[in-house]
Amino acid sequence: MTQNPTPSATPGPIFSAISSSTRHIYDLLKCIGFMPIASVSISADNIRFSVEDSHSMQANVCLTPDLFSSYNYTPSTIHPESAAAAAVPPSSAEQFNLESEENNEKFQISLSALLECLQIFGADGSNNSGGGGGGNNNNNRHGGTSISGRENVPFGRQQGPFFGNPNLFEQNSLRLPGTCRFVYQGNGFPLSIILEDSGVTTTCHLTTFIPQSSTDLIPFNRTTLTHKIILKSAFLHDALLELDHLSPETLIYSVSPHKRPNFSLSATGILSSATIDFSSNNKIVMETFLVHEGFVGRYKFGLVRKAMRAMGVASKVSLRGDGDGVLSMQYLVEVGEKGAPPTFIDFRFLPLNHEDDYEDEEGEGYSGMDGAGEDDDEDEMME
Amino acid sequence: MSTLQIILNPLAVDRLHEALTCLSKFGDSVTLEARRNKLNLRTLNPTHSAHILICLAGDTFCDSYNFVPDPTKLSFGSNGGSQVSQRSEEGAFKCKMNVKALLPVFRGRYVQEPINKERDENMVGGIDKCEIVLQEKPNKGQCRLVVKLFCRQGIMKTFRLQYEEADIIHASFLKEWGVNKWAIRAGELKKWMEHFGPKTEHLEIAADEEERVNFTSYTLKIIDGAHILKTPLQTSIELDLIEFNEFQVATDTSIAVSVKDFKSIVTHAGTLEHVQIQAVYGEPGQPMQITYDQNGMFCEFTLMTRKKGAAGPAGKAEPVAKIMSHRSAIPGSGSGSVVRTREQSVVSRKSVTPAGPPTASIQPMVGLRDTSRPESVQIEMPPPPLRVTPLVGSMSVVPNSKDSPLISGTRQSSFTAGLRGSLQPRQSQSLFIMDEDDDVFGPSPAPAGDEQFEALLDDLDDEDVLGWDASLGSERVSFVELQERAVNADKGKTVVTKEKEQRGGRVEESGSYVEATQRKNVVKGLFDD
Repeated sequence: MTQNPTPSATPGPIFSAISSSTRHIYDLLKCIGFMPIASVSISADNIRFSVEDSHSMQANVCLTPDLFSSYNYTPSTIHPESAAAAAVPPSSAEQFNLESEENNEKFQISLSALLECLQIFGADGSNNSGGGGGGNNNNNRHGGTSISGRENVPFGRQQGPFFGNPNLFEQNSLRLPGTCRFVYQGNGFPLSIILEDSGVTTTCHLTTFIPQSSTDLIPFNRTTLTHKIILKSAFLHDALLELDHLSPETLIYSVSPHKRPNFSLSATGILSSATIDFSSNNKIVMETFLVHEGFVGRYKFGLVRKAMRAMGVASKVSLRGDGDGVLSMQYLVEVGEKGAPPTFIDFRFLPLNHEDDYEDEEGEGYSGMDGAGEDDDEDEMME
Repeated sequence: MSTLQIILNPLAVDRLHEALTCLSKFGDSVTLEARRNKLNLRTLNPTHSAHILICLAGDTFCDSYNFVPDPTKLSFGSNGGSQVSQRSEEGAFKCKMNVKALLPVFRGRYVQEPINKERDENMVGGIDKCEIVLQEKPNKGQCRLVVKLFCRQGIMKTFRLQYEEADIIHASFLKEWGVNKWAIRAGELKKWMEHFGPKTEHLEIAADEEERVNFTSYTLKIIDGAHILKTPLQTSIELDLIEFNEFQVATDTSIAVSVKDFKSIVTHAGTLEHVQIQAVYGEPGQPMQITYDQNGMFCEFTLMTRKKGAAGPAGKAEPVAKIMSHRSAIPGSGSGSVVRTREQSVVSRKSVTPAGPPTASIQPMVGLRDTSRPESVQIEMPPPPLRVTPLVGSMSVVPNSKDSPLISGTRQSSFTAGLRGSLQPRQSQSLFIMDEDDDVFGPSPAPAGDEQFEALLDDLDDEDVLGWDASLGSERVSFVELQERAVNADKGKTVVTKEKEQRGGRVEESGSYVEATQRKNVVKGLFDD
């Protein structure tokens, strides 16, 4: 526990946030919903959900205050001013700063249960935030319109910025707006989700668990960055889908600065093998291609496959590899209308050893040693 | 070393995918045969009751087709091929692949040019062209069929598909069998196909004297203990002869094939525009051939038709046995199978005996969905268990033989079916023989999903093999040999392939030699020598 436990007689919630719709939150969390338990870390900048599988891959979603109509974080002991700071939306880069988590409130919850709770409210395709272009949402939130708009767009890989047009004929658009409140009173208390809809209030208490000792981030060494590629997520999704047909064990990911193909993904299945080559000079697909040195990494396909849902909803993805072969994928998901600050889903994968079919090598000593610096990347991604 | 290079446009890729989809409905593997000017895709279904040949013409179907046969193979290429087309087959490149590996490669490659420019940019999928190249380096163990898809936005997808050596199996269809023929527009036929329930198995095609053609789908009883695995449902569609472009069928000719197979064919034909399906067949028990072609794609389906039960109650089994032995004898080493068929005929006779009485009661059954026939039911029940027991062994059904309603239901359907068409009304005994017969014909129902039934089918595979034509005899041995060799040699091959191989081999083997339980041993003995 990083935080001093709050006395049982709680003065007030450490964290509370209100959103008029849970749809977008549900959609984002669903992208990492492949594991049952998620670690949650709450700070003034964001609330971060992370999951990890086999100690070899990690996925994070940061819900920024933009996604909520009100966002309050009051550290139990000190820093009352940080709550005030939250009122001023920080730059999106800060919001997504995964590593600044000194004083964060940390706990674990059952992600599957959380998703189920959120489903009660919004995941049936209803659109409470009035995103149907009507702006009929009168909630007093500052970023209100930024999160509407896309909720009723069905999940799918086609979803890109141009599909962001909300469905004007959405049946539920006339439904009264409800609210969803997240409340966390501090260590030892459950995370409460209170859904209010037309006078009906549903309260879900999700038991929180003490986080495991080592739930640090997979270290990603930005100083030894070998490459950075930003491409349209749909193309990566398509490529992986193609490879997925072979039911392969391993994904071979190779990047080469000069000779073609510049970027290729390949896999070998039982009956065949396949390679998808991307050329770096097609700006429609690849908007950034920075490769310092050639890089070939092998990753467990089963783990990479788990990112495919995120791939399907994201519009862009930034792929980076470091000297140790750790692969970082950051998906930019546009939750609102154009121009609204996007949300990021971050995946990290440890490479496979060269010969072994299974992972778990030395690169695994989690040390959370990552410093700042991710910010620049994010800024670039956003453009 | 043969060289093969094919270039296809997206539309052709789409049609190739359709063709492969159709093939995949019959069997798991597809045999590719590259000739100088065409590419043949063949599939033989596991029960050997259906053979599909899809021929892609090099000049019209492909944008570019280039095949240079392996000069070293030209000399001894005569080993494998059937006598008929031996000369033309010389040097042909033959290989076998899993159709499941091929399908995703060609799936959804044809995407129409979008109008919306912005959308176009983000559009994933769709190819500009497809190139298929054979990469044959036997010494390096690098034999692959390489499919390169040149996608939009400069993306290239390359698939390297494993293949294995294969011999070509032809379905022979003797000219003189083709006494009956008709032709109809595929669209017309497709329209009616959906009426045949998904659970029905057989399709009877009968022409009567009133210028009408009857397509009747029905199901034969399959009973496992207290459960009915197949429920009776019979659908009959009458088409006026006007619908046919050509119709020459001897009166009262009625044949039955598998609904599933027939549907697959019509579905595929329906994907081609304005194509005309031509069917040629002889008597029941002789194969039926369905052909159509369009734009360089020629499709030929050879389906075994169900052997019709003869008229007399006692005589029923005999013809079956005779025919079976006749067929099996031709392959050469078929003595074992003859014995087996005889056994079967005995079995069927056994089952027949108790069923005698109901005959009369069944006679009136011309009504389609007449469910009220309790007495006949009760009397008839015993036979099915008898029939099933010897075949399935452990699945003993005897204790449950009292489930009369079940039996009656299914049974009735089969019976009515017979009546409905131009088949002569059969007596109840004949029903069981029909069943026997039908099981012999087991291939056609081939309901892939039904595990219980599959067990049945497996046991019956050998008969199915027999159903095929004589000229395959010599070839079959070599085919088996080849498969076995392939299995033994390619230890590295996938489990899946291996299994399939072995299974195929086993089926072949048992067909011409021995009873089920001994199959493997016999196979091994043969080749270990």
